[in-house]
Amino acid sequence: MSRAPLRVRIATGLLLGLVVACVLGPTLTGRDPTVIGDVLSQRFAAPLRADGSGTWHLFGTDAFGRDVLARLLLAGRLSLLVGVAGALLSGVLGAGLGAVAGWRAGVIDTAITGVSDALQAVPRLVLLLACAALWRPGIPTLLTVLALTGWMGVARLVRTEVRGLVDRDFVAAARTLGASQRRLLGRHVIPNAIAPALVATTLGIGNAILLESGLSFLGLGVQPPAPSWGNMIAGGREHLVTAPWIALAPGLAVVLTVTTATLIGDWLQERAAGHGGG
Amino acid sequence: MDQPVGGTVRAGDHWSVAHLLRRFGTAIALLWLVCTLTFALVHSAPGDAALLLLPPEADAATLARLRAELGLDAPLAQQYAHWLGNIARGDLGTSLLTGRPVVDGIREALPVSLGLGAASLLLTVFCGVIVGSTQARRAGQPLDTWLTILSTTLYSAPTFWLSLACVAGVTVGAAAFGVPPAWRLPAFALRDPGVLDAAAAPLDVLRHAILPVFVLTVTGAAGTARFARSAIVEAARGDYRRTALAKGVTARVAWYRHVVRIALPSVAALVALSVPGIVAGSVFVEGVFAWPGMGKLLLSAVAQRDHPVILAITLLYATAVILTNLLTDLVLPRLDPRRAAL
Repeated sequence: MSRAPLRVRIATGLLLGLVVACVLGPTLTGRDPTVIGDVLSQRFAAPLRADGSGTWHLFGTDAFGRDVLARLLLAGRLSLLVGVAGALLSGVLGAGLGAVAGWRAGVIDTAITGVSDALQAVPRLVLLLACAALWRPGIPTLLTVLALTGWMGVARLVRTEVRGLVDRDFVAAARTLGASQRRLLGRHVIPNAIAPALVATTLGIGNAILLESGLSFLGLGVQPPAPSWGNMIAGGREHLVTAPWIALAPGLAVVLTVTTATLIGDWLQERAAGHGGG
Repeated sequence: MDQPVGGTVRAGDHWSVAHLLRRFGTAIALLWLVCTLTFALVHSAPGDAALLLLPPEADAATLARLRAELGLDAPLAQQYAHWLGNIARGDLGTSLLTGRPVVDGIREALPVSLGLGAASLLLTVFCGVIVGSTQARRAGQPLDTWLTILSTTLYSAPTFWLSLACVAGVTVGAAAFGVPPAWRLPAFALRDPGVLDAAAAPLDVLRHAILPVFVLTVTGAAGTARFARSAIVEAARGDYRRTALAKGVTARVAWYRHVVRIALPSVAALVALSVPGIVAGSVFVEGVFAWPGMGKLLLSAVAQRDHPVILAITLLYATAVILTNLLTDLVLPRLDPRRAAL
């Protein structure tokens, strides 16, 4: 197994560090991100400065005097969770539908491919906005909508893989030996078709985190007071001109997460394509 | 996919009438599917237009009367047929909020978005291809690695966040660095209401366009560069360059004529691939910079749950994407030198 290039190793380290920091959260910063203290003396402290009560803040404080870094780490738990779960759900849905479409040619294949093409014709954000506007906003809606609008890429990949496997000798041999449809698919076809789906799902995590932040920014995703990176940016928007760090700091967390996840995903994809890392 | 099995591809195949008809047929079938899916989406959601229009304390009789007025009491199949017929005639319905035809609102917003989109698309493809080609030429070298990291970072930045950062930059940032007010860029809106002189108006709009176009171009070009790089690296693996070098052309000519030229169809396909990204990006950009375009229209429709407007804009975007794909499908083969030579 070839060693990953330096940038991928650094990206992995940074991403792991961020995840650990989010999980540890308040334990690490020693500040409770939800408690509101003496608002007047503690609010709007600039980054790298102390507030009125003498406490120092790396990313400053928000309109209620809460430490932005501590809140950002707490928000990261939800944002990361929604991103990973959203990507996984759409990956599983896509792999399932793609496998069925590739395995059963004919009407089912045409139907799945048609719906997939139609959904891909609508920009995903627009589709998400339309769905999120129709149902009650919240985390269950967010996950459902992420899954329903993100499965098409994976489905297409898996369908192609499965199509190529249907006539292979080992599948024919298993079929001759009397294996059931379910066993053929579960034991012989899907395990061989899953690699590209895994890579695409990994690459989907960054995208799902971006979309979650966008929807939460618009008030259609994670609902306050539960903090997510997107709704923190939305909350900081009204203070953009007086205290820009409140809106800009959570965005840095999004950029760091998505960049590192994408660098890792790209490398996995290159490896899977057989070009080697580089 | 539609190459004849076992035979060679003739240059004319992609322009044959049968091929054109098949492509148009697929595009129309796709449009119909998108319409049907959006209709199903709206009708699977809880609540309907009548519930949204009336105050919560309205009694059942009023609700029933409004439903009858809006045609919501008809069987679903009949509503679907009626709605589809209206769309085919270009009638996109009436906005629940303003009571005006949806088409009117779109007619006002579309030019703004088209201008923003076209400018950003051109700059995106231009910058993206230049950066991608520079990277591909120096694949594996430090410059390539740094540009990869830079483009991945920009590609990963939320558009709305970059827009907010730009707003902060031209307001608080410019003030902090003591930039004279006359030099500062305007942060919001399409034009300055204080500019009344007709001759100064285009320049004013241009000044207002700098930030939105910049944000869309930067995020778009980052994605384009990533794609262009891999397309050109792939093309450089081909034998064309080696052959060209062997017959004695300079490295420069070999690069542009035998590598970049080969990658051109994939790069041109990017224009089609960039369209949904620009559309999605413009929704946020128009929202943050308060531009009265399609994205802003969609956002306010979403905030007010104005179903007809949401439906109409979704369909319009889908139509734009399907048409771009159709166009590239028809034009792309003509760009491929390997096919043109046949």
